[in-house]
This record gives sequence, structure tokens and C-alpha cells, in this order.
Amino acid sequence: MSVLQLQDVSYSYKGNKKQILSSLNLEFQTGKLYAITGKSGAGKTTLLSLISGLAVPTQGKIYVEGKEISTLDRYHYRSHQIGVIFQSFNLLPKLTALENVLLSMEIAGVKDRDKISKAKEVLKKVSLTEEEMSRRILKLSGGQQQRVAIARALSYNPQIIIADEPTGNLDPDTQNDIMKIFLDIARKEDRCVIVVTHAPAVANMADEIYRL
Amino acid sequence: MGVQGEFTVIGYSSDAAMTDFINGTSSIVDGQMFTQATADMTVVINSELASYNDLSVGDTIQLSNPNAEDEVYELTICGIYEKEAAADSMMNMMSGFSTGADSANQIYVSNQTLQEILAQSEEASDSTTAIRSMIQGTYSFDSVAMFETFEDEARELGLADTYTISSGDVTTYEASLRPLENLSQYAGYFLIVILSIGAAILIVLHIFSIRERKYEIGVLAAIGMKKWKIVIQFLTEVLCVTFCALFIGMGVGTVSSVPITNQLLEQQIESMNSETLGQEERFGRSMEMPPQERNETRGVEYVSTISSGVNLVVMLEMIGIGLLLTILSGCTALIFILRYDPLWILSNRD
Repeated sequence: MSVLQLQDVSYSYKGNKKQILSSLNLEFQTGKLYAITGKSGAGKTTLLSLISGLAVPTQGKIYVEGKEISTLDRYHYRSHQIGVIFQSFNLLPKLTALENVLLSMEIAGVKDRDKISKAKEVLKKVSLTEEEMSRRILKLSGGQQQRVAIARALSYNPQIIIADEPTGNLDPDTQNDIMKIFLDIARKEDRCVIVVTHAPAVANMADEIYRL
Repeated sequence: MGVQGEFTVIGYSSDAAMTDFINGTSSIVDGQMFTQATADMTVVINSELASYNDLSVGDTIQLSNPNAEDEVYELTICGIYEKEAAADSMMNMMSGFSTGADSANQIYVSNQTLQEILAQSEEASDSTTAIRSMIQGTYSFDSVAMFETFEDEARELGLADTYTISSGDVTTYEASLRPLENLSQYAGYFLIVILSIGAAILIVLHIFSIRERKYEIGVLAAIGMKKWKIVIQFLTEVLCVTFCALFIGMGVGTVSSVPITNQLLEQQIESMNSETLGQEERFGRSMEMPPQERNETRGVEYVSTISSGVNLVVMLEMIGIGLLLTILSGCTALIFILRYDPLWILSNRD
């Protein structure tokens, strides 16, 4: 059964008749890594905004675990059911890597008594050292920030993880590392991972590719 | 009408009525006060009278009816009193050319002694020549509230509106507070202005602060933090700052309020005194006031220093004002936060 389903989804910006997305029908399941590719301006990032609940489709419906997204509390949905990795990371620069992850866990209402240990565990999973965890975001490299963003998205164990150009500014070795992390999450932890990318090498690593 | 005497005999029914002695204007310098509620024909005389007539405690004096000189009353001096120079000169100014009204010529007796003299005079003389008396009631109150209650009760008992009830002590006290009341009024206006300006500044600062942290708000909303929680977070931050500011403000205020207020009071008093002096210069003499007002306000000592402390009521008032300002300025943050769309913020990050 699909964990995420788009039915005839269309989207256009307010006051603009041109449709960015038109009658899109897509299905996503757990245990797989999906890649969404397309030219610049095809609507890849817009699609992720719709899936994450940050935007509302002008037409059509989106179902998450069988429930229409418009019936859900979008804030609760974004903090519990879906993990979003933004293209520009969108981390809080004045906090450390560990604090960014802890904040996400706090918002998600994670009740674990030892949140700090759990947050460190998630950060270790994305290959961050203890020393790097205690550094402020501005003191981390692009690749390290990307890892922190991934850890933040994983910290509350969402079923769906979406990543917008996660390897965009990274060197090939780091790109491979990041993609391996996504593959492990999808296959070993049975989650649905959706990656938006314009890089063919990255897309070819996915189980399924959707082109816009 | 008869001849006016050279001395005034004043009879007191109780020690409480002798307000000059109670408030320290007059005091016994030799001997003692006569015993109340006795007609023992003892008197207390002014020290000037004693000095000029070589009188001392234990001596006997004879007072005669000015309209019937063979009507003589023998009285024994049991005490000699002295009156404060300022009060004394005030009384002398009021007395004009009447020797009987001169404070040095006032002889104090008990009411019983005076009633005895009046009774004897009525027996000895006819209605045209008998010694005349005037009754003056003195009411003593523990507080201004009791004085006000007395006034209400007097009205209820039928005192017409054409009569006024006043107290020299209350009027003098109220007059002494005038600079403080003026200062209080100015301070009140100043406070309103400061609070208004302060509130406006806080609102503007909050708006700028929220704009600066727009990205943070966008991220928090994007990762699922509900807007009302974001609002509470910001309000909590502002409240923490408010309490720190209150703590510092109360500390600085406690230390500086007294010296500053005393300085301002001094300026107020100077201003009032120079205003009076200016008026006198323009008239070429002291201004004439209605007798009552003249009696009660001349020689008023203005309250010139205050003491102050931060008690629980003051602290609560300050906390209340601080919270009100915080909530008022925090509401602007609330409006902005509720309006923000996280997607728009993150898409348009500067």
C-alpha cells in the first residue's frame, strides 16, 4: 500500500494562470528511494512543498497513509510524519548541530528521557563526530550542514523523508556518502525517501525515478 | 456696649483643648498648668506679663471688671508660660490695637474658674456691666478621616450650608503638602508621557526584532512548530527581559528617587516662595487674604523632604505596568508571526 499518493495534483502561483504542475499522479511506498528529476522550473521543489504541506495544491488531492493531507494539522504532520531536508538546509545558525536536532525532537514531542544521547546517535549515523556536533552551524562545512539537516529530519523517525537537492553543492565523494545514507534509511529502516535532484548520477542510485 | 478690658481671660474645659501647648507653640517655663475641672482661682500668665510686672509663681493678681471697677477677683499664679516668637508675632499682628487681644495679656484659667467669675459678675453687676463671655468649642481629632466624619455628622444634625467647618491644623497640613501635590501632579503627567513614548518605542523595537528573526520563525514553522508556540516563545523571551529590566529599574529607582524628589521639591518650594514674593512686590505690601485663610496658612512649613521605599504595593504596580507594556508590544509580534507564511519566508530569504 502506498504511503503517499498524489491524485491529479495541479499547482499554480497566486495571480499566475500558468500551471507549475499539472494533473500529477504519483505513488510512493515505504522501503524505496525515489528520485524526482526534471529541468529547472519543472516544479520539483514545488512538488516537495506540496508533499510537505508547506503549499496547498490548487487542484487535486494528496493522501498520506490513506488520509487526505488537507484534513491533517499541517504543523503536526511536518513535525511527526514527514522529515524535510531543504535545499538550503534551513538550520538555525546560532544553535549547534546537536541543538538543531534536539529542537526538532522537542517540537515532535519525543518523550525519550535521554534525548541528548538519541540526538547524538542520529548525528553519528550521518557520520558527524562529537566535536562537530558541538559546533555552531556557521562553523560547519556545506557537507556537514547537509548531514545535520538529514539528522534533524530523521530525529523523530518519520515514515516519509523528502530531500531537495541534497547533493547539490557537494563533492562526488560526499554525494555518494549522502546517497548511501538515504538508501540505508529507505531499505534498512523501511521508510519512503524522496530525493529531488537534477544530477543523473544521483537519480540513477534511486529505486524509482519520476521525471517532471 | 461697655469698656474693653486690657486682659483676656480664657477658660479651658480640658487639657486637650489647649492646642498651643499640645503642638509646642506654648510651654510652661515656671510652675505648672492649673488643674482642670476645679474652680481653684489659679491662673497661668504669659512670661512677658510676669517679667514687666515682676510677677512669679505663687503671687496673687487682681482682675477687675472694666465696667465696674469695684468688682475685683483675686487669682493666684500657678504657672508662667512662654509662647514661640513666630506664633506670638502672628497673634500680635492680628490683634491690631486691642491690648486685650495681645497674647502677652492673655490669662489662662480652667473653665470652672471662669464660670465662677462670670457667675459672680452676673450677681454683682447688671446685664449691661457684667463681664461678657464668648464660647469657642475646640474639637480634637486623631486623624483627618475623623475630622471629615465630624463634618458629615454636623451636617446631618442640621448645620446649614451657609456655615463652613474648617480646621486650622488640616488646612495648614494641606497647605504644607502643596509643593508635594504639585510635584505629584507633574510626576503623573510625566509618567503618562514616558509610558506612552516607552510603549511606542517598545512596539517599534519589537517590530524590528521580529523582522530580524523572520528566518528563524520560518524555519520553526517549516519543521512543524505551531505558530502559537512560536508566539509564546517570543513573548517568554520578552518577559524575561522585562523582569530583568524591572529588577534593574527598581534598584536604580530606589536609590535615586529620594534625592531627585527632594531636589525637585526644593525647586517647587522656591518657586512658590518666589511667586509669593513677586506678588508682594507687585502689591508693594503683603497680600491681604480672608481672615480665616490668613490665620491658617501664614507661617506654613512646606514638606521639603520625603522618605521613600519600595514596598510590595509599589513593586506590584511596577510589575503590572511592565507586564502591560510587554503584552501591548508583544501583540505586535503576535500579529506579524501569525501573518508569516513559512514557505514565503524561506523562499525569500535575504
